[in-house]
Amino acid sequence: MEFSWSNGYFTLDRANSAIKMSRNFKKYRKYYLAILFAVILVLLPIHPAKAGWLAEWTIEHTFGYVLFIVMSVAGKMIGALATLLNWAIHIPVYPDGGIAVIDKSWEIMRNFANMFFIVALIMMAFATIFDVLPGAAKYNARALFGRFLLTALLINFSLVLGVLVIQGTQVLSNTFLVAIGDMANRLGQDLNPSQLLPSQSSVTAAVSLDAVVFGTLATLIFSIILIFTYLFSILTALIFVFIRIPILWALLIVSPMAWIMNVFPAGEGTFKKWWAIFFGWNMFLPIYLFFLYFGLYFLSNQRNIIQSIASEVSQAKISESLPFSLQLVFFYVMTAIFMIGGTIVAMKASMFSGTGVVGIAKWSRGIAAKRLGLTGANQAWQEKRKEIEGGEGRLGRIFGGPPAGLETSRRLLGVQGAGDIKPQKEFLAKMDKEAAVLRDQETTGKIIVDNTFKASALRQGANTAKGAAMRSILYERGMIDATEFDRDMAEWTQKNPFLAQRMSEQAKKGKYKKVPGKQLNDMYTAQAGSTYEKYRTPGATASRKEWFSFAAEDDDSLKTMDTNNIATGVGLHGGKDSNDGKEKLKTVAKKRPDVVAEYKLKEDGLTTTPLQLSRYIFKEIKNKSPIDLSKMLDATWANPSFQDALSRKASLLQRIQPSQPARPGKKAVPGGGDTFKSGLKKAVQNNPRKLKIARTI
Amino acid sequence: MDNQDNLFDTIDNDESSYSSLSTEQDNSMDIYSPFDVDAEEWSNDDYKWSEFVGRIGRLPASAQDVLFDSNAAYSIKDIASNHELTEDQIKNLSRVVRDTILGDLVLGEMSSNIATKLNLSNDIASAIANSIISYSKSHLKTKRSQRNCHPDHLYSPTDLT
Repeated sequence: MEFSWSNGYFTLDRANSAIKMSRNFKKYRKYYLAILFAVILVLLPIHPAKAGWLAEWTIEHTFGYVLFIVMSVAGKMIGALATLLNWAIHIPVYPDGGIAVIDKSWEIMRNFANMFFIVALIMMAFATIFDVLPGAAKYNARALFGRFLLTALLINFSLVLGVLVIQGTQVLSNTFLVAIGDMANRLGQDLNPSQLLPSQSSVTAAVSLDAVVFGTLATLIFSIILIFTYLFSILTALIFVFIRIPILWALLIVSPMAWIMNVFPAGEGTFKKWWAIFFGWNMFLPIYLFFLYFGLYFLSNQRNIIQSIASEVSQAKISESLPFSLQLVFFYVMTAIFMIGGTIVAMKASMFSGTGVVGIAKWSRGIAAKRLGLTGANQAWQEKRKEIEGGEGRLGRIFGGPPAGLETSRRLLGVQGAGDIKPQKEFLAKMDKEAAVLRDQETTGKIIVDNTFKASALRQGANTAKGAAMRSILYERGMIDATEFDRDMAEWTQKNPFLAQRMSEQAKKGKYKKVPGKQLNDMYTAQAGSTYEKYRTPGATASRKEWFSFAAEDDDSLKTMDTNNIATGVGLHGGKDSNDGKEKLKTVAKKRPDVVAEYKLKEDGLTTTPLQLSRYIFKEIKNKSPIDLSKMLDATWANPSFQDALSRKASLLQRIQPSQPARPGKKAVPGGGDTFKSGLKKAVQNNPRKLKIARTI
Repeated sequence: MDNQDNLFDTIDNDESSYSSLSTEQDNSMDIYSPFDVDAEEWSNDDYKWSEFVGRIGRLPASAQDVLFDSNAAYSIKDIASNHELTEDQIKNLSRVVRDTILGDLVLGEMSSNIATKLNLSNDIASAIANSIISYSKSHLKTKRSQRNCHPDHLYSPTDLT
């Protein structure tokens, strides 16, 4: 729709359109005006501002005045603080002649501490007499006397030793103090943020643009922030430089008490803490001075930097170079980082972490970070970082996980199954959490543990928390097949033995459903030269024990179990003479007495003849009831030596309790062997093969 | 009993004592046992054997007891001795008992079955049948009381533990 006067008539339709247009213009008027203003600004020639008298008056008398006050006050404060700091860092903590209040107070403390030697002697006496009491051993004379004598001697030198440390660190501080010279003057001369303010001498196009784009508000804000940063950095440093003196005095005075605490085992920690704090406060100044020296050195060379920036900017065309002020701001920011960072590093390095000072600093930092949303961002980043380090996700697969060649190097250096225990256990905890989440999801119907779930689990790395958690569920349900089991275990036993053991426990819950018993036997046996030799490592020991424990009760494994398997399995459990080993042998003998008998026969160094084997099997079955015998595996029943042992058992029972023929008024009574045989037949009646054998004994 | 336990505990430690224990199979009681009477022959035929074992497996526990119990064999031996039965008659008696337990023969016709299979007079057959039934009843009573008193040890008479 458009207005047209071509035919000389202004129709009703056109009139309506005009009204609508007018309404739209009113609605968006402010946007139209803004665009128009921007166009005018762009089209106007660039030159130093020539504002009218009102604007000039406003800038000169209001804005300029406020800025002058702020800058002047901050500058004066920096000057004053720098002078104070210069004075404070030159104060000796403990001058050569000593300080009367410290010396006298230390004497009082030492005399008081000496009384505790009597307490220590009494305590040692009691602990020695009642040595049987639990925990008394560490208080008896044998344990404490050496330390008692040493403390009794050194407590008298505690002041000297403390002063020695103070003077030692003072030597370090003096090195920097000499190098720095008059710190206040240097800071005052070199620190000149006023250079950041807009200048009327801007002649080049680039500088003019700098002034327009950056030189006004942004430069002012940066200048103010920077000035206050310096102010607070010097203030913080001044506070710490000041308060370290009374703190060190106090620590010197209480040093006899710290030394006497060293006599008592429970006070050992206090003694160490005293030294940590004492060293910390002593080391603060030299470390801080180092950073101050570095910051001032950097600042003192600013002339070279400013000149090079200026020459670059003056020759540059518009948009070719960074603005002058921006580069200068960057330079001052760097200096501020050195000075503030120096204070923080000095605090940390001097072991302040144990004191409340850092606690307060952390608290204030935390509040500020929380307000700015940095805490949340940091937490999210930390979580992501852990994920990446753990080798999870796309980034984790690229950048995370263990360093390349770690396992190879470990193998070459003989560090098999190595790795820190803590992260391994932490991984386990993380996996448990993930598994709990998955179980909850399964309960609420969000996931189904089926073949799709399995495929997804196998796509995840076995060493990622989620991948391991998913596998944990599959292991528990017996959904992992033999190849997957071997592959996972080979990796876990190398990288995280705790995880391998846990997964073996999970697999036990799933009864190793898809893992053949023969493979399990071969895996814990880890025969040299076999496929499973890889499990012959310390990291796999716990898992191999788990596998054997399961195999000892599993019919499928017992079916193929031989003496070699038993020898290895029992060896893993401490050998045949250990309680654990005996228990395991007993468990195996419940189903395979023939193999256990053969193992014992070999262990006793005897030749395996059928009679010897029968005799050893007899030992295993002599106390077994027909029902117990019926539960023994077909492989055992098929063993001729086992059948022989059964016959001999029946024979012995018959000998012990012979049958009695019928007598007048009395029925015939079967013998012990007869009853045993009939009981055995009844017990194995559902197994034709065993019943056939039971008939023939 | 202690001496017997000691004997059990020590015999395996002495190789010669152990080897003195007989391993020879004593089949003399097979003809008196309803289970064993034809077991030797049937066990050579896997199919027949499996079928026989399967049928036994489907019987109630009390019937299985009679079939396997050595007391049953000794009772039949007593009966055979009392009636001076020949070996073939004894075997047939065991078979009648077995087939009656398996349900191939009717319990109410046991007397006539005995008379027919053993070629005996009705009076003797009836007496034998009564003896067998009375044994079964007393056996069941004994078993029931045993079950109540020692539910776990019914089939572990030789358990020395």
